[in-house]
Amino acid sequence: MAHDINKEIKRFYLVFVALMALTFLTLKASDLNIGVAAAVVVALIIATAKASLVASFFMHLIAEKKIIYVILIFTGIFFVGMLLLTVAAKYDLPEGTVYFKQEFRNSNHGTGNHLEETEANHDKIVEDHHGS
Amino acid sequence: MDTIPYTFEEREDTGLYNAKFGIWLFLASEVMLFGALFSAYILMRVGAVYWPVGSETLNVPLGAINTVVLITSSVTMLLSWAALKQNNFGKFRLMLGLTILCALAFMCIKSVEYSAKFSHGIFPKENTYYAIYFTLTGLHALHIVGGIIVLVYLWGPGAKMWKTNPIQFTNRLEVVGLYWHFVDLVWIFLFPVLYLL
Repeated sequence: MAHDINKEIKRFYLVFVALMALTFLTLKASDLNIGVAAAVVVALIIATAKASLVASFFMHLIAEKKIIYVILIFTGIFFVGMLLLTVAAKYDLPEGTVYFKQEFRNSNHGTGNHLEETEANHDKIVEDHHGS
Repeated sequence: MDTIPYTFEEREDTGLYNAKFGIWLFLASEVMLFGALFSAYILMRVGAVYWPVGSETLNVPLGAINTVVLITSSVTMLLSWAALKQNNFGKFRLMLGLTILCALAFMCIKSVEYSAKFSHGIFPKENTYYAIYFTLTGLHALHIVGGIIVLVYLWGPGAKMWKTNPIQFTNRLEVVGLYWHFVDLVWIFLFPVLYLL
């Protein structure tokens, strides 16, 4: 029993080191100029790896009772379903909706903390050319 | 004289004591709560004409330090639970105390970030980017505050239970630990999504 817990504590330290290394890695990766899409993929892969480490070892999911896995599988299904709903919303726009394709997209760099020119961007995501 | 059964003995059908089953159900609902806000983030970002770069609007070093602080607090949380398993009450107090200090440090750093924004006149109404930033990090900070309250209780008056019912007390620490790791896990996603992308 006592031996068991000592072994587990050692494992906690190992996971801690791994989490620190991955945090460092995600910071380094964000400095690379690989474009937004690739950066999102890389950041999410690292975050998922970290989350799996926390869930598996800190939250003991590596060896749990069956009922907890059942709860989490259902949670996962509903979670993914909710994300897919938002994706579906993008393909179910009112008739005649046109997206802006503004050239100033991502051209507003280096202004530090404060964002200017937000008025044009605010919530005018879509403009309805239909009717009126 | 337990009024609620299975406070520490395992129930036959679930194989768990009730508190552990309960916290996992609660965490499942928490996944949906944060999940809804994450999906709102995705929808707004994908639909936005212009979306600010996190590293140009937020303080990345402070965010990174907070990541380290939270992961450290998760480890000290585990060590305090392990200390109880080893019958070492002194070490439990020390490690849980460190966990609370880390949590307070997190809140201090977060409030520095918030007040920097407020002093520049930036509030959630600024734009959808700041609206979702303040909502996500604010809800997360509320979870930290809730955690601190429970941790302080278990460090102080709640620790009396160690004398009367050590098994149940150890279980309480395990259950609050599960919650604490979950809050850590949420931040692991919040940090890259808001600060780095």
